[in-house]
Amino acid sequence: MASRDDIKFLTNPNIGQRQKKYCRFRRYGIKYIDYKDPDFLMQFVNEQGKVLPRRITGNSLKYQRKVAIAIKRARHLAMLPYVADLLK
Amino acid sequence: MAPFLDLALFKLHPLSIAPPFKALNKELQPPEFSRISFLFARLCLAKAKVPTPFIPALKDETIEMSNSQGTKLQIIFHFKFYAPFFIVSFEFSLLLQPLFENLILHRFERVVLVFWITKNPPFRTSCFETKTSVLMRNYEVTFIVDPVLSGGEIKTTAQAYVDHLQKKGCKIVHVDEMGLRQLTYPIKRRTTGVYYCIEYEAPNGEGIAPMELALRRDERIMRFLTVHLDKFGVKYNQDKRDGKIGKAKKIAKPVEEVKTVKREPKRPKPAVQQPQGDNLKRIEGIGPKVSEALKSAGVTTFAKLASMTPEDIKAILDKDSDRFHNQDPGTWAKQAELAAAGDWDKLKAWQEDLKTEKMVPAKPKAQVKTTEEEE
Repeated sequence: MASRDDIKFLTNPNIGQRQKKYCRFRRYGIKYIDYKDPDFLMQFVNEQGKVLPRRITGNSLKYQRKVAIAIKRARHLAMLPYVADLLK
Repeated sequence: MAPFLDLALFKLHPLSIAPPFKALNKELQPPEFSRISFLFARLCLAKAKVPTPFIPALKDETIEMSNSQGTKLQIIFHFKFYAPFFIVSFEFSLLLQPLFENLILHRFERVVLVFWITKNPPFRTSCFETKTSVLMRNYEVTFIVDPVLSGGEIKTTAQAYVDHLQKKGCKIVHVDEMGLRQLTYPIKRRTTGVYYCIEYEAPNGEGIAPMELALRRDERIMRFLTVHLDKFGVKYNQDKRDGKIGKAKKIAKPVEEVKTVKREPKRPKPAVQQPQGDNLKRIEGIGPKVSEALKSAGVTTFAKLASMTPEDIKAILDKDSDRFHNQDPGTWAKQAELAAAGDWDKLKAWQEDLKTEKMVPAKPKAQVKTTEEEE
C-alpha cells in the first residue's frame, strides 16, 4: 500500500483551490469607512448597484454593517445609484 | 457657564429637606461637600423666612472652596423671584482633576430650590436637580448646492451655513469644497451639483437641528446629510487632510484606504540589514560574517572595498571581532575592483586560482602576489 509520501503529482493538486477569504478591514486595521468615497465603496456593490453579500466579499459582520451604512449614505448623497445597470 | 434655566421647563416634585442632599455628583461623595451642601440648604431655609432681604444678600454670589484632596468646589447662587415662590439655585462646579488624574472636567450641577411663600411656616420646598455637562461631539454635514447658481452665489450659500454654525457656538474643524460632481441620479431635474462638506464640533449637539431646518428650507440646497463622527471618523478625516491616506492600487490591498505612508515609520528597518549595496560574498575570502562586518562599517559596495588597502580592511575586521584574525584581505581589494567593473569572468577565473592556492599553505605566495599588485 503506497503511503502518503510516496504519492507524487506532476502538478500541484492545490491549484485552483479557493484562496482563504478574510475581512480586509480587520486585516489592515481600517476602522472607519468613508461614505464620501464612492470608488472605494464600488468594491462592495455589484453591477446593478446592489450591496454584495458578506459571503462574497468576505467582510466580518461588524464591517459589513458599516459598509452597508456607508453605501446607503452615499446613495442618499447621489454618489452611488440606487438602481443601475452595467455599473462596473 | 450654563444659562439659567427657565422655571417653566421643570416639573416640580416634592422632596424632603432632609439629607442626603442629592445635588452632588453621585460618583464621588467627598463627605465635606455633602455637608456643605446641606449647610447651605439649611442656611437658605433659615433665611427664607425673611425672603426680601435674603434675595439681594446672596444674589450671584460665588463661593469657592477646596477640600483636602484638592478637589475644588465652586458654588454660584442665582436668584429669581416669581411670586408666590422664589427660586434659589446653586450651580456647582467641581474640578475633578485630582481625583481622575488626567481628566479635567467640569461637571455643572444645578440645584434649584423652590420656596413657596405661605402664610404659615415652615415652608415647603421642592428640590430638583439638573446636570448640564458639556459634551463636545464631532459632526459632519455634507450638502449639495444647486449648480445653476453663479459661482459667487454658491460660495455665499455655503458661507452662510458656516457662519450659522459659528454663531451657534460650534467650532468649525474643516470646510471641504468637493466641487462640481456628477450625480448618479437626477435630483430636482439637475444632473450635477456642487458638494460641500463641513466638519464641526458642537457642544451637546445644539446647533444641529436649527441648521438642518435651515438647510431644508433653503431652495438652493438640493440634499444634505448630517452625520455624527466617532473617534475613528475624526482620525480618518485628520489623516486624510494630512495626506496620510495613500492611493495604493495594489490588488491584494484595498484601494485608496490603505494608509501606506503611515505604515512605514512604524516598522523601521534596522540599520544593520542593508539590502542595498553589493553582495560582498562574491569575493573569494569573504563569507557571510565578514560581509556583515564590512557592511556595518560602511563598506557596502565593491567600489568602496576596491578603494581600501588591505591594512584598512584588516583594521575594520580586527575592530569588529577577534575571529577575523585568520583572514587575509590581501586580494579582496583587487577582486572588488574587478567586481565593481563587472568583469565577472575574469574574477571567476582568478577566484578559481585562489581557491586552489588555499588548499596548499599559500601564505607566502599570496603575500608575494599582493606585493606584486601593490607595485
